[in-house]
Amino acid sequence: MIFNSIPFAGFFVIFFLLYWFVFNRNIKLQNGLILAGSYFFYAWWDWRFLALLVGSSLLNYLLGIWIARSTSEKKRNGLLYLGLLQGLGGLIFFKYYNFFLTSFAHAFSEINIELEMSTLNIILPLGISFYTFRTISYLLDVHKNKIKPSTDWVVFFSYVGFFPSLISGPIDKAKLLIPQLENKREFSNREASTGLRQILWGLFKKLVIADNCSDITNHIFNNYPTLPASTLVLGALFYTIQLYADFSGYSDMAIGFARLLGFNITKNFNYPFFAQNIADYWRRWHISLTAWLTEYVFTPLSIKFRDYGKAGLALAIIINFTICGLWHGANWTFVLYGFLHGCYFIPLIIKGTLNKKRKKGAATLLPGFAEFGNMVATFIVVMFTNILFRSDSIVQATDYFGYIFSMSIFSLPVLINKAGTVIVFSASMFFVEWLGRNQNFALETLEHRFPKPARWAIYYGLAMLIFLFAGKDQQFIYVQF
Amino acid sequence: MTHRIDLLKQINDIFIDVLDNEEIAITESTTADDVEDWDSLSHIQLVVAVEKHFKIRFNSKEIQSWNNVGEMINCILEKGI
Amino acid sequence: MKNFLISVLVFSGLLTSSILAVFLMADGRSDSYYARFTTPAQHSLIIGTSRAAQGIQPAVLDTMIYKGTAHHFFNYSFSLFDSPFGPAYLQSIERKLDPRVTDGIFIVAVDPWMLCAKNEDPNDSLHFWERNSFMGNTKKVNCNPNIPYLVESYSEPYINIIRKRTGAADLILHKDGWLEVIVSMDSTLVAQRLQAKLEDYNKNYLPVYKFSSVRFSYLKQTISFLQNHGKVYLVRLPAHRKIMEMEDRLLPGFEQKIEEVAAGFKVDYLSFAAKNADYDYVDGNHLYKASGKILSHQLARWITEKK
Repeated sequence: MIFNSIPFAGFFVIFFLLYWFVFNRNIKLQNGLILAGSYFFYAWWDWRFLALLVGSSLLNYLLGIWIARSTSEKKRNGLLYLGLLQGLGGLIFFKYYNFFLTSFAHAFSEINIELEMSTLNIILPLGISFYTFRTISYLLDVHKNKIKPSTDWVVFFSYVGFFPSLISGPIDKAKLLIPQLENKREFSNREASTGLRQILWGLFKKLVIADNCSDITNHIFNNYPTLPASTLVLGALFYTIQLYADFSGYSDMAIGFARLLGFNITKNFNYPFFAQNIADYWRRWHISLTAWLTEYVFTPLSIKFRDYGKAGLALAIIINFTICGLWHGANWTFVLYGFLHGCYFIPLIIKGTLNKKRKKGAATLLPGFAEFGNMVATFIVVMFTNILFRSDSIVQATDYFGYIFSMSIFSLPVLINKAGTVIVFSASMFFVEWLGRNQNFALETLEHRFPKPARWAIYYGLAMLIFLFAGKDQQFIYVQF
Repeated sequence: MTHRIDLLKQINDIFIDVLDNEEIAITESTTADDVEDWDSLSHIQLVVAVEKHFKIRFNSKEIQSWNNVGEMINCILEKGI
Repeated sequence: MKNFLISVLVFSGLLTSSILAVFLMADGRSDSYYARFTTPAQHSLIIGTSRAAQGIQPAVLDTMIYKGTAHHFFNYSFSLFDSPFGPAYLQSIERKLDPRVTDGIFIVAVDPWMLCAKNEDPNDSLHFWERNSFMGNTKKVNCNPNIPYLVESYSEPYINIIRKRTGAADLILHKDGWLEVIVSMDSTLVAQRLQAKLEDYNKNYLPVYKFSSVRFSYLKQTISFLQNHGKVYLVRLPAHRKIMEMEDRLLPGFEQKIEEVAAGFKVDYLSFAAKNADYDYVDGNHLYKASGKILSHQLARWITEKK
């Protein structure tokens, strides 16, 4: 039941009406509905791992209470480690078991020791990377006394399983979402229509841009040995746009659905392609994940390494981003992807310009020359690294790079069906986002800028563009992580 | 109390120096969200600068427990400065 | 809340009517299949794959066989992927045929590919490809506009419904089900297309297509169903020599098999295989429309003789 499907539309309409009209009298009842709806939503995707979701919610709920209640430091640590063991253990087992096994066997065979190991046929439980990160951050925050543990199990279980962000994020922190679950939500016309607008914008990015891009990129990445290098560069370009439109479109929808229910969840994207350097890019891309990693991986590491100056900082960043890469999946392509992004920080660390946030640009129609140059340079770095992200193996990625840097780079790219449409729509998307870049999403403050008839014309136009140009149904890329 | 104010002034100078921004004016309740350049990356550089300046050493738990500048000052005072 | 819901409802209504308006514009230029699902149930059918869809022209048959009557032929052939003999196609034929008909004429085009399957076990009908294509999914085959087809099975962006009405079409699906292909017959281009077709068939078809006794039995079931509603004629359409040679390798003894079926059901069989040099093909596999017209004439004459 992906967001852009008819079953989900039906589910959400019924849920919405029940939520505001039947279960609205009592917050306990309404939270119960959220929990039931979330589990129904999850079971529709894949009921087999519902027990795992419920089980890890229960364990973390109890651990949170016990950690807060206990006064002995040793016991608190013990309980925390138990929770981390369950969370990381589950993640490692389901996601990385076969990867580690085959990598070990491979390493040993290099030194002529053949190990007899059989891999298991493991299916990745949906959303595990996302909800596990929620429970881990919750326990760590309780342990550090940053938050009080939740004592209402319905609230806590709903926090872990909140359906708008269950399958693919954003990874909300307990500090943000739990208080909203504990307090009565009020319906607001304005919030609801902003939510719908954000969903519409997300649908446009996903269906019109990402799904049409995917036709092109699938073709290019499946046939790369037979295509000229210039086309392969286009493949990386379109894939970078696709990845952004797909995941930020998904996030827009998730945030929009939460808004319709009276929730404000974590912003996940802040126009990453307008970033001025790679550090800036990572402050704007998949924000809920990078913020998580910064708090629980990078900060402890950087404290540990703080006596080694810039080298320590670089090391902490490289480790942090390698883990960030690995989070996406059990493949050396992701490890290398993360490692490279970590390395891209080194020039910034040496120059000492790491934390120079640029002043927010005025809402100019066009970017300045230097600003635009920085944007393009950052984009190109990200784009080439994304070849790794898209490839099935390191070998394929190096192959792809090899073909790019062959002589045929100076050839004309093979014209691909639909490329024109995609280019026009992507350019329009980036332009609209450029104009709206100081808002949470590009169309957030539409009502201040346009009178009602013009707004309706914009919604109608967008909806018809989605209907007329939507590509074939594709799964969201981040659902597999 | 004057000691706290004095400490705050010294820390303000460190912030100005590390973050390279003359306009910074922190108070005890200032948090990272209030200062534009104070993020997770510069945080550790600030900590190192404070440690060097006062010739003290924080442990990892202390550093991660601060919610604002005031709590950092409490921690410095605990070290006997 | 009330205002919000009213706005949403009004907007949804507006959007739904616009979508319907676009759907109403769908016609024979929208794709190669849609229009066949928008007519009422039919009296006389042409059954087969894309060879029959492009090669047999109902209008020509009508002038020779149904002149002065209210009856018409309808070409209900699709493509090798979607309409080989099998459960999905037979069910679709059952839906398309007016159940009251007892005096219909049914031309069933056969070729070796239609008796083969490309799934791993060629007799595993649960994995027949067409089961999940529009053939298996389209349950309503006689309504206009056919919204279930457009929603579930239309494989292009909907803008093409509008775009193809205005641009120069290269495929037109006529109301009688004939698929007209508009293409240059420049001899170099024809040779290029033949070469591409041969390469494609050699690489992607010949190695994976295997004889399926299930499909063969569905040929017989299809004939037997149609016989309840009228008279059945079997025909094998011609193709380029090199394609026909490939078919001999795919299924040796095909002609004999069909002759046995024809004898068993007491139906007539006409094979154009030996005369394949008499016709022009757009790509080696499909008759050019001028040749198709001639062939349709010959077919009609043969049917009148046999009637």
